[in-house]
Amino acid sequence: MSVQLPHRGGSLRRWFEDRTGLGAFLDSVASIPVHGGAGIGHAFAAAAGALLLVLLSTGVALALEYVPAPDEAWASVWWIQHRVTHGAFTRALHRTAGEALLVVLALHVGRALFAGSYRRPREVGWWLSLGMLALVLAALVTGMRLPWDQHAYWALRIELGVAEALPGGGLLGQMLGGAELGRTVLSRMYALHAVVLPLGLVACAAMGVWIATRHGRVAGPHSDVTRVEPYWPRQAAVDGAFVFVVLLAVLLVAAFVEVATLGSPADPTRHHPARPEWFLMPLYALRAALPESVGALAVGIVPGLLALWLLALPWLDRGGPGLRARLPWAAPVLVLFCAMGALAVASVVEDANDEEHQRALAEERRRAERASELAAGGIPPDGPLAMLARDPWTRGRELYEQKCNGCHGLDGRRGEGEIHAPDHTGFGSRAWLLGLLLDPEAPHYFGRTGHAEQMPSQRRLGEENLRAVVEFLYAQAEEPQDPGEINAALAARGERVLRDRCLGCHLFRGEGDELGTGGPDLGLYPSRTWIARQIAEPGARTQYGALHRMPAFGDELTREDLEVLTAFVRLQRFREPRAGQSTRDGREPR
Amino acid sequence: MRPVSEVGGRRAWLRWLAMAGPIATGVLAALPAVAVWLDPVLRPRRRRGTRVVVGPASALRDEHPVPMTVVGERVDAWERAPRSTLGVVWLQRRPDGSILCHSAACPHLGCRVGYDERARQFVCPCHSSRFALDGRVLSGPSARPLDELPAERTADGMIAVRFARFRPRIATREEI
Ligand code: FES
Repeated sequence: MSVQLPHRGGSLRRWFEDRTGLGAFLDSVASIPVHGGAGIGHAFAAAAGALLLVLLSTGVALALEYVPAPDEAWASVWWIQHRVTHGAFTRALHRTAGEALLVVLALHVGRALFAGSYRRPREVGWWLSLGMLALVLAALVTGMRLPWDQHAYWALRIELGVAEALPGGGLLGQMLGGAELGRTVLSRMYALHAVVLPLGLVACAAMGVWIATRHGRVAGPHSDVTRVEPYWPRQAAVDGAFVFVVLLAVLLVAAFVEVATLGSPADPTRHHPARPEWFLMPLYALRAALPESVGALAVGIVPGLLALWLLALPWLDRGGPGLRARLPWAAPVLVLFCAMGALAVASVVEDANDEEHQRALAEERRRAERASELAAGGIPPDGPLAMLARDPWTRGRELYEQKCNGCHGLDGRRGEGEIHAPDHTGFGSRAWLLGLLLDPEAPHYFGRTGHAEQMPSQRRLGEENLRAVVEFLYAQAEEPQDPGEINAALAARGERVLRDRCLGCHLFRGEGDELGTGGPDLGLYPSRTWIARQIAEPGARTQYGALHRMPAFGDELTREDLEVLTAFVRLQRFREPRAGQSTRDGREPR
Repeated sequence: MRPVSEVGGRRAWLRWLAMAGPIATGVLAALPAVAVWLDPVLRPRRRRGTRVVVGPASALRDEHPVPMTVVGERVDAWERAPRSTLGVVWLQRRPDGSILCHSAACPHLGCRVGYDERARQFVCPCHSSRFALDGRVLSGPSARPLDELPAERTADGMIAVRFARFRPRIATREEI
């Protein structure tokens, strides 16, 4: 059976054919016998081939920008995602095509399973499909670890832990770089993902085409097996149309669904509620559903047995023709597949209803967004983690929550510290300062600190003077990079008022406190210097001296941490307290 | 021409010679690659815990764990970072004043264990292992209690911890 492709002839074409024989090869492809007639079931292979080509091309494009090293990996993926021309789309396309390839191959294998096309003489083709399925799984896993964000890091850590429990897994894990997740593991992951696995996939695909030219394609379970027609033109048309539809779907998903995101940079010290990707979710759910002693092994045994079952199928199934004879061999696979899928769905639903988990995810999203925002200003050479460690809104806030939020309130939250310290919502802003001068004993200022009654309301100064003092204090904490303006004349007047009316109890640049009350030095209040000193040494004479009730954090914080925490507290001046957010009664609204 | 298998003598020699090329190619292609792939397995690893000062003893609270970051030297291939983060420990002061220190690496699969203030338990975000304040497993898949690390107060009021990592998943402690 030989089919002539419609377009032949021309001397150039003959010259080329004479030297390469490519036309003859295409002819043999065109005449591959399709058993049971053209149909969509035969088109999965073509779609897999098309997706593989898309993956290779987008993969090479991504490799132009990606750097497989711990700090640079996150940075370079951020770069691809946010700066490289159509980088985000290319990345999304690469990921979607990869996942689509997995689905298409699974469909291909599933169809072969029910069509019985693993039987003699098609065993090798069957094994090739299974091999490709495994390679694609490996490529997806390794690929998704490359961005080196929190998800990648912790998922990998768990995967290596799981592997260690399985026979041979320990050696594999060590070969990948072992317990310490660092340079070795990442560059090996990359070598596998970008070189070894694609080479394997291409080799399998080429071999598959070669074998198909020998044995043709087998019918689905219900087709009319006696009907045989050549690949060209009807199956070729079905293939073409199917490939078009699959690629269109992939394109739409890549363009309109947020498939490839980037989490916050991998941080070995920050906990993360790691969950595997959807295609590994069944194993995760299986482990979670079983007691630990069995579960850990089941994660290896179940897929292992499934693989063995499928690989051995050409020898196991010696039954007669017809779907009925094959069913005992195919049905268990389908049942297992559905059961695992159901487990996975149940586990996803459980996570969706788990408040703690959702909170952790939201926290991680917030951190990822912030990291991305900072990266837009340029990622420093010591990497994205160092970048976050210098960010007041990230590291500063975190330190604030750990060290200060127990006693001080902020944004309506306060821990269970015994001392009620002033609320920091809007700390240092004009409104906050004015409020303090008007009513220092209000519960969100010093009302519950034990300093109450030490400072009376300054309403007596009169509105103009109060505004002037506020302007002066506000100006003291002003820094060159700050937005907004200072009314210099008003501030100058404020300084005069302050020198006149406040030095009875307060120091001002070392002078004052004529009555010996011991009030803090207003000289730099509430600037960065003042805040830092207050945190490190609240008992200093410039601060609250003997009056202070705040623990000193000077020893507990490194210099960098003190700096970033100070910056965070100072930044509160730009956030006006919003209605309903301040903790006026000092209690935490839950 | 007779099939190759039927000829002996000189023909057999020629056959061996013809094979020499492919065999040499195969060996040469495989050997260095295998060696490099196996390098992390063959390379001797240092597995000694390091004594690290983690923070001031004044930060400790009675039977209330506080996390501290372990900063020490980290060697990653060619890179030697003198001040990098090795991990996190949970520290608490026992009633008798001594220090109790747990590694925050979950003994199950190594996730970073957090503290649930309301339940007064350690809890792992990955597969929800829960541990009592003394490290005992309360629920979840962890096969052993949280790994306790020796900690002591130094003369200048700081806390020194002997930091180490242990093989995950198994019931016994095996340092890695
Ligand atoms: S890693 Fe902690 S429970 Fe699994």
